[in-house]
Parts: sequence; structure tokens; C-alpha cells
Amino acid sequence: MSTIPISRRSFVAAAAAASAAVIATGCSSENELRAVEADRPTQGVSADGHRLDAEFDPTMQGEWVTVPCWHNCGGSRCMLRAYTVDGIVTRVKTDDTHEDTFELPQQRACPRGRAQRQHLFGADRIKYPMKRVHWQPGGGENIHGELRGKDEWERISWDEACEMIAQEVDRIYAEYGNRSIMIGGYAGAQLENVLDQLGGHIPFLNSNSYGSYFVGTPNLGITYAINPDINGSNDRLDLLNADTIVLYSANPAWCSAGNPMYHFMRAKENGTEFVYVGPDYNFSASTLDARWIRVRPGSDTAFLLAVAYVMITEDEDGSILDWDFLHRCCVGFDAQSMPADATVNENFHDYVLGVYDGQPKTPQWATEYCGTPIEDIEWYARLQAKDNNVMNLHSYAAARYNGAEYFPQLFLTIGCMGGHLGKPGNATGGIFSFSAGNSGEAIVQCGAPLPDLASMTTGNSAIGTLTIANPNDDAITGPEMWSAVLKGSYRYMGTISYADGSSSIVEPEERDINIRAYFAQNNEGFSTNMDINKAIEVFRGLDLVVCHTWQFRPTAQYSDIVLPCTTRWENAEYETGMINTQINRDFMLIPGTVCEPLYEAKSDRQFVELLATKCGLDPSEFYTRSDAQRRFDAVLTSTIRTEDGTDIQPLVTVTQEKIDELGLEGEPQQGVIDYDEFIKTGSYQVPRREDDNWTWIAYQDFVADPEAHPLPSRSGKFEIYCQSRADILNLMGVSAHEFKPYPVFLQSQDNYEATFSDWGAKTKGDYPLQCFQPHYLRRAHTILENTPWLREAYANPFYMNSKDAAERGLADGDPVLVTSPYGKVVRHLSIDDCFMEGVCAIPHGGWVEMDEETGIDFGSSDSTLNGSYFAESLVMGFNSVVVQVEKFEGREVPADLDKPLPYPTVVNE
Amino acid sequence: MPLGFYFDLARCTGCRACQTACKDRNDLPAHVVYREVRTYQVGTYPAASRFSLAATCNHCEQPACVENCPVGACRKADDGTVYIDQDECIGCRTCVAVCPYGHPSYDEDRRVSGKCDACKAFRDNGENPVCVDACPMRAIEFGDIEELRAAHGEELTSDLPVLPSSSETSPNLLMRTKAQAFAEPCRQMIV
Repeated sequence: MSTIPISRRSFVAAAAAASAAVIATGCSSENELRAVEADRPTQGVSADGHRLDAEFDPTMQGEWVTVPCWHNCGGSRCMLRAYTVDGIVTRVKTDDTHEDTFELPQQRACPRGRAQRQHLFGADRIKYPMKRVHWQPGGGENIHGELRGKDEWERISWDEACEMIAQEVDRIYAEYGNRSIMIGGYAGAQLENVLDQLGGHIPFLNSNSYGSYFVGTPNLGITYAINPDINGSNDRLDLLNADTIVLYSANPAWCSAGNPMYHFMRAKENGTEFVYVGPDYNFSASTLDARWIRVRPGSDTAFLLAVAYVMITEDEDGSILDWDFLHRCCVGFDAQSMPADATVNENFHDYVLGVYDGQPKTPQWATEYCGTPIEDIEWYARLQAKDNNVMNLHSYAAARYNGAEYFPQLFLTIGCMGGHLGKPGNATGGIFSFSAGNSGEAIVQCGAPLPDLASMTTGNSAIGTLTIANPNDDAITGPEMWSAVLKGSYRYMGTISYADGSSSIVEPEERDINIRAYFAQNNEGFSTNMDINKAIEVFRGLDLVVCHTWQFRPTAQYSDIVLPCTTRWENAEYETGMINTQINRDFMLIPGTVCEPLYEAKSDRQFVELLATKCGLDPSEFYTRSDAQRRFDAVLTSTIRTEDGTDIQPLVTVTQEKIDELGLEGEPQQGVIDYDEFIKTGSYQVPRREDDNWTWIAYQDFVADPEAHPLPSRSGKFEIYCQSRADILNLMGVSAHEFKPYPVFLQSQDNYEATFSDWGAKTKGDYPLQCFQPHYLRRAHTILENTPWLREAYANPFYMNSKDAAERGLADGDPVLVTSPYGKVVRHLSIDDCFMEGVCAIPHGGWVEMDEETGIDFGSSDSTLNGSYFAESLVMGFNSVVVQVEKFEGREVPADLDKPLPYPTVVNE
Repeated sequence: MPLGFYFDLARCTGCRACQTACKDRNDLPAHVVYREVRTYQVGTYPAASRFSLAATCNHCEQPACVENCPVGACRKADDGTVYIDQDECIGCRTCVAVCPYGHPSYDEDRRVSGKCDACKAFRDNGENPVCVDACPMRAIEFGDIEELRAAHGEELTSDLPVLPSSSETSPNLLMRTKAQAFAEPCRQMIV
């Protein structure tokens, strides 16, 4: 047996050597641990020539540590454990803390989790603070903003970096006032704790993933818990009670990786039939052998209105429609169920029949827009009949189109018409992200750190960072976030709470704004919002851009000062945020760390403490709790539902003796698991039984007794006619369309109609194809994009139907140039006949790689193809893109796997 | 009795967690893959569909790699699983060329071939190969091939249109399939 001992020192030394060898154009695509760790194997070889893993090698003394997989992945917050020898991770495994059973399934990780070791310890880690060579503090000509994204870098110290930032912040506030600094992202950043004490910052109001579910969801009666409508469907045990599960524009296989597809597969193997509605027969649909109901991108309201038409016209004395449900649990379906606050004497039923506009919403009418075969519309309508046990489960994809404002209300309306809410085997709600396949209020709920100051809150976000309040009351909406900076003003229209969906939309006013600096911490807003060409123009016009990061991601590439950030595997900083909120209801995690911060990396908090000091603040005044105390707070405030399901109780038993031993603050408490046992894995999962009291049937109490359990809407019922939501949308005042209180057909920009130069004659225009942006399992939005194992597993092609490819003379694998009215990308083509004709897709989250001469983005960020503008409201229509596609012959296009990873060229390393 | 893999093709989402877990366990560089997930497109629009095949070494009864390795580096372990002793491998790539499943993978930098050893060290310690415990769909198992057959019924196969005939090397592979795996036309697609 031969093994080579490893040590933490050799790891860091080898990593430094590897970084010195990095070439000007970036890291070697290898970026393997081997590259970082030189020739130091982490494994030995057995006597007969088999690989001997460190975890079985008696000469290595390691331990398994539960580590976080903390990105905004859309998954169910799976479990990862890292085998760690002297601070070196030799392998990552997933949950094996218990046997894998139906009652207690292991929380198994997706490929992204399994690639974390390469992602976090790659040779492209940002190792020390840097400033852009041609940027100097002080504004004016010395900033050379035009070189952002192209310049070389100079290594500087943390002290120098924070000194420069402090001086610039001081200068910018003095010259431009307190409304001059932006912080990207919606989940908050600890940097706010400094800036908000000095002057404040400008935040965004961005509909993000939620699309039109961001606006007025509680007004409709829909639940809002962390995210809109995620508790609107039932838990994993009840999936098995459905005759049919409709996945509406949902792709849990890619968007909610981990266990969710397994939950759906259990239902399928139990006899449940699946239906998929959307423009592509996605990986979830093909895995579940779903019946495909094809609907063109952005035309869902046409499709669903025709479904409603068939349900209404084929109904005979309640054979399809659940009249009891419509009249007992809803308002506004027909003339006899109008809400008290109605200002328009119209109702949904009569609109569908064409009473108001002379156009009955027949399948024949709808198919021109949605492309759905008439027989499929009729079949889907009959499926929705009240005696079928149907779960209608949506993602937000269909809500992320221009003109999708009515989609949430109409989707809900169809469910209400068949009465598919509030009873076992039936649901009409969301399966977004961590709630996919297992919706419902948490049974075990991870706790959170207590605020350092009583005045601290998570601001506008339930998943946000605890911070000091922002003195500025601004909020730039997503569609305007770049143009506001360029034109020096924006349309202020109040805000909407990310925490509970409540609207404070006000009479809009045009406000002057002069943004001079942008800070990126805990987000990649630069490249994940619409219209990256405009974002680059914005960045190049600023005085200062600062990015705190562990990888040379797009924001860092276009920054002036880049600071190395620790990852969650190497700092003990326990934050509020995605780990303790975005997690499935059975399970919680308070993970550990495996090593000290790499190189010169500092945590968010350490950076903020240093910057605060440079800015003349005393960080001990607003960071009053240690990292260990924060983590302990989270343990103490974690809860579990009582066995009868009616209340919650502490999860972890902590004695006074233990508190004393830890030297931390807290009160002893009685829970269901002892502290030491809990901390061993940092996780807790509750076993489920069919007869337990924790089953979640969304809206069950309400449907049983609507008066005793009113919904958050004004009427307390589901509002098929919703005056308050229409009033909110009309108040925004950016659409030529006057919003109705009930769902109607609405055409908008850059959807199907935009592919024609002459709609009446059906003559195609310059951009004849629709292109949407599926979430992609190679990355979590933009995170993990720098991971070769994932680049190898997923090629990131451009997807298109064979007919559209043949018309353009394109073959599978060809490099193609994709052009929208707003930008150009190059990708290799994947011909996929699971796409509708005329529909193509670019995977979401690619890292922009802009060729300045041609304007072509060879990294293929989806934001390159998006325009940014107000369509019908503040909702951002990420999926509304029209394109032309042609063969690209400009130059060789290597596979992403064979490209160097982005890495700064440092002149004084 | 021989040891081998059971793969439930009807459950596989093509997520590539097994492939990535294998890369992690074996510290594999780019282009060296011991377990590979391939996705195939079948049928024609609008009735097109797909299936994915998570494949690795089938630890064959008559392994072409073992029979053809000129230096005996490619051999069967005491339990019948097939592996390459990389200390003895001369990097001639014969095994890569002769395996009908295209399984062994050549490492250009280290100039040796490598392959799945069904995580021998894990099994020697009472654990499963990492791909088995990685699969979010619980679609992979490893063990005594007859026990696997008994556990999963008689509807299992070692043959698919996209694979070579099992008569070539007698693979220890059992698959639960679905109609898509036999549909035409069929071609591997870029994912």
C-alpha cells in the first residue's frame, strides 16, 4: 500500500504555484483539483492496484463534515458531506445519515452539489484583492471606465482596497448625494450595514423568478410564504392520491433538482398519469412519460381562456364545473358572485363567452396564438372536470413573459372551475424550487440568527440579510434598472414585499437619480437582469464598481476593485438566507466548515468590519454577536411541529450545562433531539407517515369553511374578479392596456406576434423564432458555471426543432449565431424535436464573454438577448425574446469544456 | 455469482449526478469519464421524446479489455469485477479500442487508461459504489446479478438498440427499460 501524506500547507502552496502559472487568457480548462494540488494525490493505491480512497486509508485521519450547498439553485436544499483530512476535502458524498425509505428519504444531491469540491477549490479562485490597472480613485478621466471588462489587474492589499473604497464612498456621497450608490440583488448584502449608516443605497424592485406572481398574489387569495404560491400545492405523500398531475411549464428535473423528481416518480409508479403543458417537452415530461399539451411561449392566457370556454360550454348541470366551489369559495366567476368592491359590472364567465367583445374564446380562436391543437385544448378542458382528481402544478416560467400579468389569476380560475383545491389528490398551485413535489408549511423549520441590533431586519426580503434600515426610500424596478442610470431618472412606484407579497404600489412619480457606484456582494445582478449590453454601458459610465467574490464572474470582470470572498465551506459565518428558508418541509440543515479561509479571502462580515473601520464606524456597534453565537441562535430558534400538528416547539434540547460549556448566550430548552446529537450531522429530518398529522393539503381548512378561514384577499375568497389587483396594475400606468379585474387576453411585446412582419398575412419578420430561457442543471443561475465537471456533463447548446434547423441548413452540433433585436450570442446547436416548431431556447445563466468588435457574446448569457423595457407593468418578461438563427462561420468555436476559465491578468503578481 | 449493475432506465432523468459523483471520487480531469450519461432523442415531432442511459463498465464475463491487454494491467479482481492497475498500464489504449461499450477512458496527461472498478475500496468496506448512493432517482444498484434479477423481476434486459449485443462480452448489466429505449428514429443528442 502506498500513499502520499497530505497537508494543508502543501495544498495552499501548490495552489499558489498553480495560480502563478495561469495564462493571460485565463485558467487552464483543466481546473481540476489535481491542478490546484499539483501532483499530490489525495488517494492511495491498494496492494493489488485498486484505488484506495482516503476515507478507507488507515494512514489518513479524516472526518466527515456536513457542508452547505447554499446557492440559489431552485433545488430542495440537499445534503452534502465532505471527507476532510487536515483541511483538505478528498471527496463529497450526499446524505447517508439514515436508511433510504419512503418515510425518510435521503436528501440526495444533484450533479451541482456533487461538483462543489471542484467549484470551491478550483485554480480560478480569486486569491487576493485587486484593482483595475487603469482605474484611479477620484472620478473623472482617471477612472477609464471604457476599459471595464478589458483591463489588466494589479494586486493590492486589503488595507489599500478598503482605504480606496472608503475614500470613494465619501467623495461620491459628498459630490452626488446619498442617492448615488447601488447595491445589486434582492436578498440584501451586509455591505448595507456600512453604506446605510453613511448615506444609504439604491435598491431594486425586481420580479425575479416570480414573474407576474410577484404582483398582487395575496390579493387573489393565493398563499405567499417566502415565495408566491409555493404552499399552494400538496405535500409528497398526497401526490400519490392524484389521478393526474399537470406540470404546467414546470421542469423539476432541471429547476428543482435533488429529490423532487423522485417524489413525482413515486406517484407515477403508483399509477398517477402526467400531463405537461409548455412549449418544449422537457426532461421532466419525457421522464414521466407525460402527455404533451404544446403551447407557444407567452400565449398561455389564450390557451387557458379556450380551456375555460370548453369547460363552460360543455358543462351540463355541473358535469364539469364545480358550481358549489365557484360560488362558495370564489368571487367573480359569474354575475351572481360579484365581490362587494367591484367597479366594473363584468364577469369572467360572460367574457369567455364573448358577451363584451363579441369574440367567444373558442379553441379555434385560441390556436392561432397558442398553436395548441384544438383537440388537445378540448381534452385538457375535460381533464379538468370536477370529478377527476387533478393536481395543476405550475412553475413561474409561464409568468415570466411580457403580458403574463393575467396568468396567475387565470391558472387559479381553471383550478377553481373544476374545484381542484383543498382536497386530497387535488391542487392548483406552485411547485417552485424547494417546494417542488413536497409543498407545505415547514414541519421542521431552521432557525435564524438574532439581529445584532433590535432595529435590524431582513428588509424587504424573507430570505435576506439582517441589516440596518436604508434611509433612502427608492426602488428602481427591474425593467428600468439600467436605463434609469443612463437617463438619470426613473419611475418610482412604491414597492412590493418579497416577504409576504403585499403591495405598496403608489401613484408613480419620475424621480431624478444619479448613480455613481455599484457594489456587488451576494449577487450577480449585473449579468442576470435583462439586457447585458445596456448593463455594460452602465458599468462603463460609473465612478466605482466593487465586487466581493470567490470566482472571476462577470460582475468581477467589469469591476474596478475585486475582493476575495470566502465560501461557506471555509467560514463559520452563519447568516439568514437561503439555507434556512429555501428548504423542503421535512428537513433542515445547520452545516459546518472544512477549512480556514483560502488565500486572503474574507467573509462578508470580515470585509464589512474592515471597510466600516476605514469609514470611521465602529463595527462592534452593529456586529454584536459572534459567528458562533449566530450559529447557536439558529440552533435555538429551530422548531418542529408538534405531533398533533397544531403548534410548534423547539427542535433541539439544550441544557444550561451545554450553554456554559459553549460559552454562548441562550436559555435552556427542551426539544426532540439533543444538541450534541444534532450537531453531529448538523441536520434533522422528520420521518413521515400517511397517518401523521403533518400532511399538507393546501387550502383544506378554507375550502371546508371559507368564512372561518378567510384567504388574504379582500373578499377572503379566491378572486376570479379581483378589483385590488387590477387597481395595482393600472396604478403602475406603464401599459396602454387597461387591466380588467378578471383575466382577459393580452398581447404584448416580443412574443409570438412579434415574429411576424405582417400578422394578418402571416408573413414572418426579421426575428421569426421565439426563444425562451430554461433554468439549466449545469449551474445555479450563474453560479458553478466555472466548473469543468459540469461543463463536461452539460454542453450548454442552443436548442431548436429539426424543421427550423433544416430550413436554415443547420446540422446538429453546428456553431450558430443567434440574433435578437438586442444582442447576439454564439452556441453549438442541439436539434431537439421536443421543441415546438418556431420555438428555441438558450439555457439561462451563461457567463457573458463579449467580443467587442462584433458585439457577439461567445459565453451566451441569456441577458444578451433580452431587451429591458416596461412591457405592461413592472414584471420582467425574461422569456419574451424573438430571434433569428444562422450558421456561424466567423471563427472556430471550441466547446465550453475546452475553453480557459475566466481569470484576471495580474501585472504585479 | 457474478457482480454487476442494475439500471432503471425508466426512472433516469439524465441528471448526471452519478457521472459527477464518479468524477469526484476518481479525481478525473476533463475528457476522462468512467461513468457517462448519454441522452437519446427518439421519435419525430410532435411525438418526439427522449431517454437517458447512465452507463459504465459492465464488468463483463468475457471482457474484451482483459482479453486484449498486452501487459495484463487490465484484469479481473478476486470478486470478478474488472479493473486496470494503472501502475502497470503502458497507455497503449488497446482496451479503449476493443471495448464494445467504449468504456475505458484514456488520460492524456498521465498516459494511462482507467476505468470503473465498481468502487472496490467501498465494497471492501461494506459500502456501495458511489454512483449507487448518488442517484437521486434510486435508479442504480450493484450486487450479485442473480439477486438483482430476483429483486427486480424478469422483465430486465442487457440489450438495447443503442448498445452492442450482449452476446459479444456477456455484460453483467440488467436494465429496466421503457418504450422510448426501443423507439425509432433514435440518436444521441447534445444536452
